[in-house]
Amino acid sequence: MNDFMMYLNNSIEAANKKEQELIATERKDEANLQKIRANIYGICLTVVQVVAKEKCGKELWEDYVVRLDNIAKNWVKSYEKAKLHNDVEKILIEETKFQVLNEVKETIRKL
Amino acid sequence: MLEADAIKLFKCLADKSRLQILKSLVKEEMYVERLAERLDLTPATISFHLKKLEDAGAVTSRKEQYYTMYSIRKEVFMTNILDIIKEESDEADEQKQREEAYRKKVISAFFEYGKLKSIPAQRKKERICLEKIAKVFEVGKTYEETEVNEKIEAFFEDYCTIRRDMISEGIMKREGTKYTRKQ
Repeated sequence: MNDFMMYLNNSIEAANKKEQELIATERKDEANLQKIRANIYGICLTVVQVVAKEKCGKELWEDYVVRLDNIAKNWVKSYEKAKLHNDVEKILIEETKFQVLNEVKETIRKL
Repeated sequence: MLEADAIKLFKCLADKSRLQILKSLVKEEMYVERLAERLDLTPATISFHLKKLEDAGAVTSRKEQYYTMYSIRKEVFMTNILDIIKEESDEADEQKQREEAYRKKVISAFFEYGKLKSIPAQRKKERICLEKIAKVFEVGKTYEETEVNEKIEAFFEDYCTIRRDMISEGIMKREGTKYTRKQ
């Protein structure tokens, strides 16, 4: 659990650092994507802290993944809508969120 | 080039990745994946930047078999910056541009993919939304109420409120069950 929390905190820190680097090199739009990444890691951190108060062991991780998937349901709708209307900005934002979520789930799997 | 177009273009160019894309395109036209490989960015990021460049009039695209090829619009970059600065701007034109920019802002905030998300609380904003919806009606043509409802429903579920507000705002005129759009 501590390792996972550390991984999330490090990821937030890395995304924030990358955001500042991109701003410094005049890549504001890509910097915003890093901000989104940091926010998603932040959401994952909040959710795991909530679940950890209620459950432990295998149950904790199972419930955690279910809750993350529930959060992502709205993103799926938004992504599908964006694809339908070829809204490239929204597509990129939603894909960034999925990337982070998949990375977090993969990390849990490896725990 | 209009002042508003120049501002849009300059804002768009103030990004390192977009300048890198233009540097590649000035040599030859390219498709998204090739640019992505060249600039070490994801195809989705490249598409996003290309959309911004296209909206600002800096690049143009054409379909070629399975690919969309992008090229730089050289004529835009041949424009003399001094000519843009020297261009006299008319106060009435500027006012019109400000109003149009405000309309666009309201529409993009309250519409998503052509559907009205919610009715704005502010009257001025609601009127802008109602005027946008009213464009589906031809000026001078008479419509039955059911037809009016159907057309409004394509934008927003609560067609009754929209229909009534269009009448009270003077955008549509009702005579019995017949409706016409005013000028």
